[in-house]
Amino acid sequence: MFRLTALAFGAALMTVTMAPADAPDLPEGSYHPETGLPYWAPGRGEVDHDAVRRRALEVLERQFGAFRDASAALSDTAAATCTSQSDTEALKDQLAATWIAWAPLDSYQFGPIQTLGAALSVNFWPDAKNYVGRGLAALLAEPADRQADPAVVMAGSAAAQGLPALEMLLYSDLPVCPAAQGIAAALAQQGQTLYDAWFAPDGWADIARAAGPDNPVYQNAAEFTKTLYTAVDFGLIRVEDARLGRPLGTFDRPFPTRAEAWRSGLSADIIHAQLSGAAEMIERGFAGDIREPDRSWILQVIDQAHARLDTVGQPIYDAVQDPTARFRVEALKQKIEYLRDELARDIGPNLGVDTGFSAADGD
Amino acid sequence: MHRRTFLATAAAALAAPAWADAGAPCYLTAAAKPDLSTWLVGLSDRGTVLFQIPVPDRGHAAAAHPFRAEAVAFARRPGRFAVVLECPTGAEIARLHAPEGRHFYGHGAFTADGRYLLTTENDFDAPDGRIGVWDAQAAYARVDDLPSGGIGPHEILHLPGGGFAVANGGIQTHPDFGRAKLNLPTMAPNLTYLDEGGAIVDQVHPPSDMRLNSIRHLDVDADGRIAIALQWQGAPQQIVPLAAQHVRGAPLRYLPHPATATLRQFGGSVAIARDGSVIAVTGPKGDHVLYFDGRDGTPRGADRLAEASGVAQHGRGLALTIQGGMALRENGSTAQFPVAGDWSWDNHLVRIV
Repeated sequence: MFRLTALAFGAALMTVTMAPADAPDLPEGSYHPETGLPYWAPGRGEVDHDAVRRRALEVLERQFGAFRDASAALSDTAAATCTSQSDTEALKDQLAATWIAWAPLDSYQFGPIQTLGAALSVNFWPDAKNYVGRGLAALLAEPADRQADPAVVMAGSAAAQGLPALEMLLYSDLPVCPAAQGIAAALAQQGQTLYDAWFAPDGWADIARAAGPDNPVYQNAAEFTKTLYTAVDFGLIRVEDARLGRPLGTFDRPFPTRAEAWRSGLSADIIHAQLSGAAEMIERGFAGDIREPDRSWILQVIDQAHARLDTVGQPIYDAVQDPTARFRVEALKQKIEYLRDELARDIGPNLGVDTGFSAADGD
Repeated sequence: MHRRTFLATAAAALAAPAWADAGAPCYLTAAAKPDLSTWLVGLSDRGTVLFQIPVPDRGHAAAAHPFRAEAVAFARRPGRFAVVLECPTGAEIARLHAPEGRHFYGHGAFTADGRYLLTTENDFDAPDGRIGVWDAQAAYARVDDLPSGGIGPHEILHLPGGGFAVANGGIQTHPDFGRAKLNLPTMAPNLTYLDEGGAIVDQVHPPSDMRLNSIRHLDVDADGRIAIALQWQGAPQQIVPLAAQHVRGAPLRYLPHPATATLRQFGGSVAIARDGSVIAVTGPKGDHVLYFDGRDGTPRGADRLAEASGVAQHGRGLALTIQGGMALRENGSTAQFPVAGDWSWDNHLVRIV
């Protein structure tokens, strides 16, 4: 393996030795934007968990920042739509952009997303009991000025505070305004609150940076690496089981309305975005602290998954009901399963992450 | 119900194997081997493995039948199966499957007469906490389904005076989200008392500043006083008690300890000595155990024990599972000894009556 690694590093080494000459003032620990490899060799095959943490926090800051910005724009668009009584196309487009910005964050079910209950309040799904519809009915029973007030929305049902509620307003016979304005403003608040809970002083990023024996969450930087690795894997489980498996059901009995965002037909775009978010964490976060060719191989398998998703060629809602397209959805699901196996075989051990059985796993 | 059909019936004299046939094991625990195979293990109080039975997935706690040599091993949440095993042989007597839309939390308890098994369950799309009722005399057929009194019922315990205590942890989870906690802004744990027929007879709620302290694991002494292990879900930098006591009719009593921070906000398991003299709360994440006086709740020292996980009554003291073995806490001192077999223990140690 040692020899293999050295060989595979051949091409990368060119970059490593040449890059600092291109940019001699680069700070230590920075990495090549294309290859994701550090300009300075990681050294003796040991994982530098401090470097992983530094780079991963940059990835997270960018991803949480993207959701904050998209949700802020969503609020502005909703306000403009409702004020000018214009058509809802711009609002639909911005809902799609916001959902796609959320998709990578769906993998990070720890820290602020848990503390703030954002998994449900941003994206209440699955919704087997129509809590979104019921929450919206309660909101729509309020006087108009209260519907537009994000404080009223946030005090109500979590199911009526997020993306699926806005989607139901925009893709059903319900009146869009003024409730859309209140929900979009609530989403913008959540986007800002999540970002701050991570990156404001004393936020979760500072807890991760302060990893050590007295830290109540991370006793060392390696524990944060393990959390991130688990999150990447969890995101893939979400794609495989929830986003694909749930609507697939069985051949005789598919469940198209169990697809995420089936009304707006965004299901496939959300899956693309979640896969891309995972790829970004692997490429830019774990970066050169995963040996080659393992890292490039995993990224290649993610590309294969994207390609399989493209062959589906229609919304998941339709695809699971169509014998030919359904077969392609199943093929994609198998690819995600394969991706998870490869991740567990190559990337986990590579990062020194122990995911075995331990009483310390908690319950 | 039929809700009353399983009111304590006369204990039938049954020709099933009794616990002595299983080598009179003192304790049960779920465990794994280095190859990640998963097992239910019977241990003597000196760390001898009396039996080891493979189970299909990671186990959590187990419920021992009060007099037959049967144990019910529960899958760890969000597991959907439980296996009833005859302990001398390892023969599978029955298998419990959680109904559609449910999963087990990994704990259960028998009625005093051994007739019914009660299991804590998640009705995850509702979401609601439920108690499943299974008839041990009818091949563990599911016979009833009762409210637990809160979200996230975790440990359920039979009480010496009859009835049960249920730790409603307050945390909403859904299998689609793995083990992620979904409702922290609104979580509301409680301790609920059920009568022998499973009906809710009393509930105690934490004060508002302890709302984020999940009530999760329980034990009870011979006088019916309950000891509680807590898991803090609030700001991780905030140090709050991870142990509490409760006596019916009184408010919850939280127990500070100078070594609380070593548990890393996670009380894994709890036991109170049968005579009520000592309480232990284990910290598998923090590699420590805290001890308290069982009567007045004052701190009584702590031990650094790697992967301190399960703890159970042992005479006037307590037995613990730790990395590579067991420990006994008696008369204010702790003795450790190894257990052969390279086991990793799950969080709980279940004492056989």
